Amino acid sequence: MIVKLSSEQGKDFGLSGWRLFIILGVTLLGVYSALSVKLDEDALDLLPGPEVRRQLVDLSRLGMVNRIFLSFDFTGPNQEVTADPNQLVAEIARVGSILSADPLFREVFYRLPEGYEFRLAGTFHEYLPVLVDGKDREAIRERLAPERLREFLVDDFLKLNSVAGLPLIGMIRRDPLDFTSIVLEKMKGLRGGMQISLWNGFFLSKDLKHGLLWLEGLETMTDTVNAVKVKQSIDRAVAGAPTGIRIRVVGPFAHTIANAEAIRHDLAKLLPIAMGILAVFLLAVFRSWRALVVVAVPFLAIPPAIALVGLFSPSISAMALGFGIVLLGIAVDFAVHIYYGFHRGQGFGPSLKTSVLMAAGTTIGVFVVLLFSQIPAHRQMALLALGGIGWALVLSWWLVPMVGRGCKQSPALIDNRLLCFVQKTHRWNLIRIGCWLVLLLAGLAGWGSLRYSGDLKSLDMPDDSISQNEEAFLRIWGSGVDSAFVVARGSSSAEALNVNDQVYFTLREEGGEGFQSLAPLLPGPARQNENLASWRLMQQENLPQLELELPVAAVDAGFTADAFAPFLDWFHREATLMDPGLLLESPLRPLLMSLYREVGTSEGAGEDEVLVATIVPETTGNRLALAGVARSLPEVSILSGGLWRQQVEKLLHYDLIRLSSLAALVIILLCWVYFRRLRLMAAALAPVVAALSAMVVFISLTDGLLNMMHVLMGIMVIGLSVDYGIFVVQACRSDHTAATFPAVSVCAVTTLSGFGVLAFAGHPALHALGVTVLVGIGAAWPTALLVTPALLPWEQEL
Amino acid sequence: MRWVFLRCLPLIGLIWGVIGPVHTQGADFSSVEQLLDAVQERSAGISSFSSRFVQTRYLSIFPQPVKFSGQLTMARPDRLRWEFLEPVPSVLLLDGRQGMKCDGDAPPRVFNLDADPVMRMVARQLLAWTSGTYRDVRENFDFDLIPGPGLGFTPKAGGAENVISRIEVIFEPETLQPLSVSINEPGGDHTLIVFAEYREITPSATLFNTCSTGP
Repeated sequence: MIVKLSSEQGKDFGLSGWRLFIILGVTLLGVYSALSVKLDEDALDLLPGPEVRRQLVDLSRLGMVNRIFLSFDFTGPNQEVTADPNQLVAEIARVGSILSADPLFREVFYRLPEGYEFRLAGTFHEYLPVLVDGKDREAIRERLAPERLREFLVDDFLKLNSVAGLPLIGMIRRDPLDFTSIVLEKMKGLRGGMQISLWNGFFLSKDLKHGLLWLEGLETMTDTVNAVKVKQSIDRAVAGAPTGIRIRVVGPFAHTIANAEAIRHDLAKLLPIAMGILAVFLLAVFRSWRALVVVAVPFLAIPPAIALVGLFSPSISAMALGFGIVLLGIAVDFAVHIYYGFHRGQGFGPSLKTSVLMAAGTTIGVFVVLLFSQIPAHRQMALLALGGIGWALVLSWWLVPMVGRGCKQSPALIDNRLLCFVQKTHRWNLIRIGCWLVLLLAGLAGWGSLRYSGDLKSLDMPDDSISQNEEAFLRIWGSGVDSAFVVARGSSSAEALNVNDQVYFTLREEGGEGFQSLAPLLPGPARQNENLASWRLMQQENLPQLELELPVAAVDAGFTADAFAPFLDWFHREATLMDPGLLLESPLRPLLMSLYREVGTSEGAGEDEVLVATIVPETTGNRLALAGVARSLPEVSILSGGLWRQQVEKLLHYDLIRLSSLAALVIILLCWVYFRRLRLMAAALAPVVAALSAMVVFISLTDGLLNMMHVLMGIMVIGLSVDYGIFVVQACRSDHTAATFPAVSVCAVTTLSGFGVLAFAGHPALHALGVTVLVGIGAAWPTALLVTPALLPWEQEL
Repeated sequence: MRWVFLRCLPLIGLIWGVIGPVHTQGADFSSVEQLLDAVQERSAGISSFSSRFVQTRYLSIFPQPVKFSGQLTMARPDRLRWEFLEPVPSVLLLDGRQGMKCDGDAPPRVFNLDADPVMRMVARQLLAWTSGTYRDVRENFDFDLIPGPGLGFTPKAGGAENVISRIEVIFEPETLQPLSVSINEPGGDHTLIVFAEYREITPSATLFNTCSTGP
């Protein structure tokens, strides 16, 4: 039966020229502007609070976020156990030279430069007085003792006469007691907890079966396109590895690609099912292709919504864009209700208009609250959803009546049965309300056991090869535990290195062990001055005796009396402070640059900032030491996996509580303004409360961990559930249940089929998303139909 | 320290090269090329040999010259044993890519030539010298003919000029067997190595990978 509309209604629902002009204008302008908005896949957008983000920015600026490790594992042609390091280093050098020339990477390190020992020995000898600390000076005093002095000189005599002794003359004359080796020993501090040994300049494991190469990607690797480029480059470089050498690659790009592939696989499998169910369902209910058009109408709001975000930010977070569009799905419900009005022959009357406006108002209220989130991506998402839902409402308001005007009216037999069931079974009201209350109580009970997991790893889905590579890497090279990063900063290298020295000594005083620090080799000016003052004291104490003893011992060992005049001259000389740049441009640069960076400020003000990191294995003892550093040096940043997760969780939990409370307040306020009666308000909010309770119960019965997906989709569920309640209450008040009850059911079924199938996804993020919707809407839908009417005052039902 | 040894290897290579056995009829050589051809031709036919040597170092920091003597054993293409016997025993071994150094009672120190590009380069030079293909080190040294007959080697700029100013090798005129090698250093110090008792032998493999050769 074709719906016949009066001329007035037809005029009302017609698409006048100015409306068409506005729709076309806004849509085209939106498309044009949206194209200029840059998509950003920065993981920082997902982190709450400036401090947490600053910590990750620091790590990123130190090159640690985009760092990739290649572990070359010797297996032998037939899984032999005997390693041939020559094969390893040849392969490392081959791959390293290819990657060094690749513009995607920088700081490709796989060996120390040729002759590094010689150059280092010269530098360290020159600046030894400012590099040696108290323990080193004790070792020097011990070598200056007459007996040890003589032993060294005899050894020097033999070295000079050996086949390799020719080039030793200069070094032995300058440093007969091999003081330089004391400073060279400090290089071990750069190794920290990593099981690395230097083998002719290459970084090999102690059993010589594994070699290491590391590099830094120039582009962010949370971006799938960049990640794929990086993978292709590395694959090309490692292709052709000889038999018997396996190359394991460990880096963030592998996770990005694995997650993208897992999501793609899930969506390829589940989206056709969801779309199929949706289309079949809509066609079965409405028996018209128009229904499909109606569902699509709100999505015309996407380009203007993106353009709106573009007005406030040059780029939009990929995560915000994805979820913002998903949240726009809420607006589909408005279109469905309007269309259903025509489908049932009731048109788009004042009561339905009020319901749609009220539902949109509460949804918009929720997203306004989300604008105050500490997470940038959430704010962008809220803005996108706000603009999108607002414009989708306008589109639905103007376009859907035009589509619905010519639709066929379907029999209302089922609606009437349902209506009768609801209205005639008052004796079940108490049972329905009782069940609802039980769900609320269960939700309240479960709320206390929930914990927010800020660990983004819980939403990560690495494939088996990534997990195996990372486990093998930790086993071979690491101490098997996570590491914490202590970042000292300053406006100059001197300032940052001075703070870094304090970090080093505090860690040592607090019992820290196995940490990787620049401090032993690159002390700040303050400590260099202290070392220099102590050196001068030692000079005064030892020089007179040395000047007497050395010539005699030299002659006894077979040298001339003045053979070691260069050494005495050096010992006499007034030492100077060492410029950090000297060491940073030395052969040790590869190791030093892992911990030291001169960068622009995180705020982009253009001023240089120097960051110096200390890497601390997170053992039980070191955790205590880190706590000591945090107490003593509040100006340094400590980024420990565990502490960081706690901090993120605390902030997100705070955000969750604060925003949820605000959103609840906004919804309650709006409902109160509209309904003005507590019982009506309770009836309208019953589906929301049921949805939240069901989600809490479900999560607490599973792992008890709320993650970001739960929260984001929880917002959507709240937005939809509130609408269900409002539509049903308004319908009951205006006796429009014949159109509203099935409309709510259509909305619920489309949401469940669209998102609920994602509960069967393998990727944890999609799974969490699907489960949240499935459980939330699964509870809100029956509550709206069965409990909301039961909560209404008696006279409303009549 | 290892870097010291690394930097010595080209020098050692020179020494090994020049003491390589060259049997030929006495002749006058009008050019470096002619002498090099003769040495290369003769050395190609000898697989292994040994020789005694005396090394005398004339260093400004020694009040008088210091003499060390020992035994050299060489097996082509890439095995060498350089052993000081008096006054203080010590051994340097090369066996293909592996190497070992033993000083007194200290534990042997093993090293590998092929692990490092620098070492690989040195090893290539060594092989060139020991096989008599002196031309392979021309990128590092300028050659000239000296009376004796002999060859003079002057390091090219950017090479080993900080350590060596010149090397001179004097051959036995009839057999072209090297009689002495003189290594001069920039500061005026120099080292003279005199060889004697050259003979062809068939050495055991352990001679090149074990420091101790005793029972």
